Amino acid sequence: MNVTTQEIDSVTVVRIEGNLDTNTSPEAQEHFDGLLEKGASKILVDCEKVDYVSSAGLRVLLATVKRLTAAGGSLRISSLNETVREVFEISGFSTILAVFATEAEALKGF
Amino acid sequence: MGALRRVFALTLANRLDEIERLNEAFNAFADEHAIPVGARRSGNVVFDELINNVISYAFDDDAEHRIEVRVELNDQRLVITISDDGSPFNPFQTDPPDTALSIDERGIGGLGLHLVRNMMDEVSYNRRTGRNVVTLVKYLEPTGKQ
Repeated sequence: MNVTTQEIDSVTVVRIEGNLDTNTSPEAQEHFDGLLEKGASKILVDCEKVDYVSSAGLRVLLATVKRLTAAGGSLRISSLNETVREVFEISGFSTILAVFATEAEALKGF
Repeated sequence: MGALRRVFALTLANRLDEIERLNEAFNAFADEHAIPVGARRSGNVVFDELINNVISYAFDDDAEHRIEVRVELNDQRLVITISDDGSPFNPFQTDPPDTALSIDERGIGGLGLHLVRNMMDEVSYNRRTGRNVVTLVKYLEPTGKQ
């Protein structure tokens, strides 16, 4: 898994490449924790290059969105492939996370 | 071509980094046999969930255990079998999580097995000669006969 971060206006865009699963989630969690500690309040997670997400990856996203909203921030997520979208729908994450079709759409009005 | 048995089998040790080795080997098998990408990714997710579950909860000692994984591709079906010699546990008898809760109320408990049940078309469990045997079937979309 590779993670790259870019600031676009006031939004921290996190682009993940690879999988969010048992073996990559600890590193992903560290990455998000680092952003939260630095005071990021608007985080956009772009999944265009994410192959699949398991419940270990969902745990990271849930922990991040909980901390972020408690601090008055928010999280958006974009560019899910069909399988990741299915995982979001089955788990109910598509109703608790703001999901957008593309990074550009997610950035609009954020 | 119909008579060819397309089988892939791998023995894993009970270490979490073995999941990655399994998924890489499964991806190579999927490429070789042109398994549709959606079915391949569903396989990746269920391997991550079930092997993690076995490694984390099935064994009450520190010994090395062998987890056997077998994947067979038949016509329009991908049949996955996972077996371990851990404590008897039927992963499909657990209660599904409440997926309608708000962010604050949500946890992750039970979500992995809920994903497995929903992403596969058939799931079953047997206890056979001291091993847990989980069998999963994913139907593949018909590709049309030439």
